[in-house]
Amino acid sequence: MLRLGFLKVAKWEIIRSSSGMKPSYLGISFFLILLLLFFSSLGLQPNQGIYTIAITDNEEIAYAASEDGRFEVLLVGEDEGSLLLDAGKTDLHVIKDEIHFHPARKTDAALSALEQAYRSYRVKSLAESEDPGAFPVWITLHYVKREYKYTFGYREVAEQEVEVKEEKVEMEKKEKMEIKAREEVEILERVLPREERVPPSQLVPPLPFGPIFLSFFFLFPLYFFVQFYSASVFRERLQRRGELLLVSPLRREELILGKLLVYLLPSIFVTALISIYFNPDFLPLLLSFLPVIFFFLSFSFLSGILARSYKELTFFSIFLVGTASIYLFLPTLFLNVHTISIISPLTLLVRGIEGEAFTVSEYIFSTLPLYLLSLLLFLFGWLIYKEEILFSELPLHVKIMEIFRSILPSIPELALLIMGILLVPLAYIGELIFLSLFFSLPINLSLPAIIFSAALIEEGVKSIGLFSKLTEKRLKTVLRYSFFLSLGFFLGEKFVLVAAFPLLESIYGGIFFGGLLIFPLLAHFLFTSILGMSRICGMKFYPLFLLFATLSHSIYNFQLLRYVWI
Amino acid sequence: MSGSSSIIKKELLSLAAEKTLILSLFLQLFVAGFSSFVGIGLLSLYDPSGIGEYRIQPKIGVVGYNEKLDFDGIRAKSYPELMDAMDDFYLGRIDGVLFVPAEDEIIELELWLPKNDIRGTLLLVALKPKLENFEESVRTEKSPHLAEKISIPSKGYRSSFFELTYTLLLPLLIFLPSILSGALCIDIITREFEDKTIESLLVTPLSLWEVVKGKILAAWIIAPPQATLWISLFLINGILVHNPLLLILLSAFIAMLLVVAAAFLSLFLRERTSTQFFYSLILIIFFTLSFSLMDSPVGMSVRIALGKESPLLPLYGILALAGYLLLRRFSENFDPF
Repeated sequence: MLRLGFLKVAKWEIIRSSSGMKPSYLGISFFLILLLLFFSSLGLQPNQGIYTIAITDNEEIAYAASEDGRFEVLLVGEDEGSLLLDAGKTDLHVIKDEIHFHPARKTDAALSALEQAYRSYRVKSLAESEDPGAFPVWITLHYVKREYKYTFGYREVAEQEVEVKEEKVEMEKKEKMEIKAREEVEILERVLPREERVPPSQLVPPLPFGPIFLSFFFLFPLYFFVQFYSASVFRERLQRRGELLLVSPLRREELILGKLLVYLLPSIFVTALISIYFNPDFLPLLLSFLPVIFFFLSFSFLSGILARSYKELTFFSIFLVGTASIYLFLPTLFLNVHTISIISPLTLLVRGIEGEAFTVSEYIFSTLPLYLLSLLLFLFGWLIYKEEILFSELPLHVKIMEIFRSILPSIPELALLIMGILLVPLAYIGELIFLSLFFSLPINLSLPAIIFSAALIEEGVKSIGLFSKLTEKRLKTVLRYSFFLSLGFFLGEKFVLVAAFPLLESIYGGIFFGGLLIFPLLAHFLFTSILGMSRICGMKFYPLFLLFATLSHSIYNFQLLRYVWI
Repeated sequence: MSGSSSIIKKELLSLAAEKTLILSLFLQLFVAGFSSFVGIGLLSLYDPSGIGEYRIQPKIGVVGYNEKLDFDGIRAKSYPELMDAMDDFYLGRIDGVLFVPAEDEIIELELWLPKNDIRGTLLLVALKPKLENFEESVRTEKSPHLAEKISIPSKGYRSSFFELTYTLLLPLLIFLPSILSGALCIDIITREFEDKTIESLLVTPLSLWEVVKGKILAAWIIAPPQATLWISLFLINGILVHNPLLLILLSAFIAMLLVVAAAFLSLFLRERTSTQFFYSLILIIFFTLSFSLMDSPVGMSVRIALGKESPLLPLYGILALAGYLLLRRFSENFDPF
């Protein structure tokens, strides 16, 4: 039977959250937002008056510098100017057509700023002079789409790009015989988009990361929803209202779903509105942002359940924003430069804003990790949404271990197997974060760094699973438990491999997934057992065993990579 | 007085117990690290020509020749045919193609660059001064009366990195502790209302003002040491900061202003979520405004750090004191029930 209790919960949630928000608050926030828009239209100019320039008898420079807000201009006599310069009260002293200064980093900056100011003044006065010789050189800029991918430090053009280009060249080679250079240009102009035509001084280097800036518009409202959601979950525990709800005839999942919908639907709605603003064909944009919404909401759900105080809650959300920014933004910075950028769903979003399509497999690869992780977080949250855990005030790590013990089947082998599978998305996301952090380093640095961090994360994540069950100090038990955990992890990895297929082409992919080709189960079993030994020798040695397991894992991966390449 | 100090002590102890302070330092370190890591990204949003010092060295293919156009310091390759250059461009061997026609009344150059690619940006950044010099010498030759009258000996050092350090990174790190203090103050005041513990607190000989005072001072006191830490980090990194003491003073004044504002909001609203919401809105406005005005906290911190005079600094001290006294008056006559 379909139960609709969650609708009732949703209604309560709306009434409760809006009763805190009096109508006058809405008016005030509206007013504040208007004020904000007004002030931001004034423009950000924190660099006003940071340089000082003393000028003796040079009207042109005086005019140019006073046009530029960065300069504080002093019109002085020659002697006075020298005194100011020696006393360090001015950065530059201009006397007729000479510039005096003392060498310093700030002076270099001031000179460069003055050069910019003078150039823009010149362009302005030349334009006003209407002299026919004022702008003897013009330049036409064309921006052309070009994409390549890296293979181990060397770059190649993406294959399809080459094919297209070859056709183009074939077509043009025929004509090439008959025409001169100038006509060639005209042909290229027909094929490729023509853009602006300006004098050199008006060339503006493009913002390489411009479109990424736009994705802030999507994230900004989400930050607010996340705050409200986690605070609402947390308050339920604080005021022990959740207790009453739990003894009501409503089911747990109805309680959770009802509360979630109140924050999920508006988030989706707002995202849809923003998407429509950028591109009337808004569905791809909405779809690529959807996993981000799920991830943020699931994380705040769980942090609302785990936090013991508002302060902790605040720092959970700061942690979320921090790590999520790395994961979402860093890969996107390499849009069009490297296939790696597709790790982040924001890359798809940015491409959507620019009106480019993405394939289904790209979508799966880019969003699956986040979907899986959100599912996992919601699942945890759902399982522990019980009175005895919700209202206990145990330290965080004890609470987490407690949770694992309470939610998994009582047969330890089965529990470990399941846990192994469930932990894979966590390890996967962690590895991707480090991958995006390190991959732009030179290859001889990035490769070891990535291999080591990947091993560390996998071993660390496995430890969570292992020690939540492993309490005995017997070698046999350690080995048996390690085996089942490794088996689960292995199966989970197989699943990720299917999703990660596009990245396998890139060499970095091989580091993570090449490991699935030979003996990975055995290797995992070995490293997990090393971890388990710390239970026998005493947990204070755990860091040592973790380091040892990580190092052996790294060496194993290195050997494997050499095998794959050679 | 002893009532307030026991509140301060209690709040500081609980901060230490929950490791909030460590987390907050970690967060700031993260901001600092992150901003230097994406410094390139940030810089390019701020001024794309500033990323010229980045280590990627793009290469330009040139078709045609003009003796006045030099490519000193740029990796350039010359091609006899435009098509060959375009082929190499698509194969990734060069990152842009410049077509230079024969001398004419007006010289029409053509430039192809990769779209949405940092190499295109870098190439254009490197080419722009060369093209400007080219224009200048063509102009001087053809119409001498329009020639430049002064030459500025800038050594190719870009001002934008310097400006970014002083006008964005420094204010960010100096005022972040103040912002966090305000947020912390909201948490510790509204908690008393939400847990209804305020009632039991007021049954003790403590007055509401003593409770509030203890809380705002506990939140405030942790800001100046953090600002000190960041300024020392700047100095260790060889970035010259003038008058560090004045900067710490300014950060303390602003922290007090924000903490007082946070306390007012908390007393009015008594509920954390909406208080934090209004606090963040007010913060955004405060700092947007602050970035636009010369004697605002941000503008002033920049000027102090660069060794300029800042006669209005005491004004913030007076404002902070006034806010503190106003809050005192307000909470002495305030009925918390």
